[in-house]
Amino acid sequence: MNEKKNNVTLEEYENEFSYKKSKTNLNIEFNRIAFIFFIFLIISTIYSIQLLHLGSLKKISETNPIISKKNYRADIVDRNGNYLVKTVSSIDIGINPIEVIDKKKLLINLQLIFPKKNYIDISSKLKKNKYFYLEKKISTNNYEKIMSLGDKSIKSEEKLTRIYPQKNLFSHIIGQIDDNNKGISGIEKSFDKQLKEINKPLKLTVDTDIQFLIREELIKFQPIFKNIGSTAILMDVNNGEILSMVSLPDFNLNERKTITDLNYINRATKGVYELGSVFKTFTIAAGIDAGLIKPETEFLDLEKKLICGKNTITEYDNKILSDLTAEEILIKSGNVGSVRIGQMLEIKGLKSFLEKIGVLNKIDFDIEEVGQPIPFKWGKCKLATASFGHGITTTPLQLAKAYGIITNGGFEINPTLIKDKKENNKKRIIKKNTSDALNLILRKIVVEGTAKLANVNGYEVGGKTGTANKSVKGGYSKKKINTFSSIFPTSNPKFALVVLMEETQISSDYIYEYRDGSKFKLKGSPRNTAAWTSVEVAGKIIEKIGPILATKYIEN
Amino acid sequence: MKKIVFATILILILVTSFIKNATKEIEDKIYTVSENIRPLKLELGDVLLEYNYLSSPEKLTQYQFQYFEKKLIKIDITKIKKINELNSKLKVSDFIEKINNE
Repeated sequence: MNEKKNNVTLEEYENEFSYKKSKTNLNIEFNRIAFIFFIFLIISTIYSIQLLHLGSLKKISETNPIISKKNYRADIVDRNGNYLVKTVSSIDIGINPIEVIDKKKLLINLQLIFPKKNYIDISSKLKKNKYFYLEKKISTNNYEKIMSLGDKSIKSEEKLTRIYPQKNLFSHIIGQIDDNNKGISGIEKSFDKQLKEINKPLKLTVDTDIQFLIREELIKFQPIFKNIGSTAILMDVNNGEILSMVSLPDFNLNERKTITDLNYINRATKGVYELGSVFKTFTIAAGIDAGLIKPETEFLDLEKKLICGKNTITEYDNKILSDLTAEEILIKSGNVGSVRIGQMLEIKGLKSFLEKIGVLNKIDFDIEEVGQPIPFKWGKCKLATASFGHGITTTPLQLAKAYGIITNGGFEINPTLIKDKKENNKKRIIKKNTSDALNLILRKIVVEGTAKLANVNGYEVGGKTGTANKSVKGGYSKKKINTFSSIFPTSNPKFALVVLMEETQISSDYIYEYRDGSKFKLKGSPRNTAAWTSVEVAGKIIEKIGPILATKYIEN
Repeated sequence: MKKIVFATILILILVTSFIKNATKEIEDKIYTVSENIRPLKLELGDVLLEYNYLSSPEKLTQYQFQYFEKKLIKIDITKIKKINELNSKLKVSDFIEKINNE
């Protein structure tokens, strides 16, 4: 046995210790104990305060309006607080084949719970050893059943689901989200970040009841005039709030389909059209605003035909007189008279007015699906054609905005879909007398001009019709874009309503009821113009929504 | 002087601690109430969703055809009257004032 040897070395430790008597009269031992107790008291008190403080902080963070959760998305409501979109959580059931112990047993059990499923397909998926979803948005009953199987391969995933109780009604406005809670169109896209952060619903300016009634009318007239699509915008001219924006065809948001058909575009904001005579209102307004003309200014010996380069400008109706006042040019929708006013304004005058009312450039709006008016080079002939709405494009939304500005006293407005948006003070960009004059002329167009079918009793409707041929590559087709841009009541404008119908056809069966008190009825459309299509639709819309607007939105 | 500062700090700490502890009970109550409100809020949301769906214009139109096909009639807005009370007297006027010169 080996013996361990430990070597111990002892060294002398020298400690210099010297005792000095304290000069103070304090009892050192008592102070030490008191000090320890004092420190202990402070620490425990601070800890106590800190603990409570942390607790209250935690609660504040829970009630803080700014929250950020991965699986969260705020609801969207209309101006009356009705749900347009509601987030609910749902559970998806997936299977991880690698973790399956007995495939046969699992399939039998699943067949008992989901008897209608294709088990040949499920069996082949199990063989592939790749995770797959068995059932999405499972019912509570089936969830309990499947989880009671206790199979480790069955996985449950909590997912966010958006419910759209109004189905198609706001499809173009609201848009859609993808599977990763990311907005891909409409408000869902443009307000993606806010919807993930705010803990109260996002309030829109739209009214569900009005949206429904307008959509119903557009749908009703679709088979009558056989149009491929249509749009209507109802806007408050005093603040730009959009009460309704319908674009047909639309789609059911709950079905979450991938739409590739271009006919499903949002015509109200994305559709860029040549709108025809509705632009004449701008030419007349620009002339009055610049002080070049008055409503009673006479234009004598107006030609029946004008030639400018390759363009031949004629009157739509040969019965239009050669001597007209500025007011009559708009009421009778004279092309040549509008060209004359445009020429008085010159390029600079007309262009700057159109830019001011926001029809020439792309509009800044709450959704990203916005069309860009087609840019063009101004010239002598372009000025002539643009004066009566030919060769110049814009979107129906911008048309509503422009009519709003012209009729609201000349104040600048920005169309919006978001309620309670903070706007700067009102800025007048057009003279008040221009606005007043235009309101009177627009009213006369409905009373005695081309829009008599929209003269709904009690609402003082004013407006301008526009019939244009649809532009195609290198020219124009015979297909029509019929528009009616209206405002009401003209004595104190509150609402602008734009109705646009694309590729309308005349109806031989539809019965028109005249609104002049004669109770005269006419069967079949005499012409494929706005006066016989979109004006009739606008009249029916105003008749339906008028009582709601009068009782709910007009302050007496 | 040192003793006074010392004593003041000590008193302040004790008072703060005492107040904080006194609020704890209230905070607990608030927490309990807010926790009880949370499921109610969820329930309210679901009920509102159901209400919005059942009272949506589409459903109401359906009910109108189903139950009141001929009972509900549309009234011309120009025929609706407005009743105003002025000095204990009732004044009846048109809901929409007639337009001049038309």
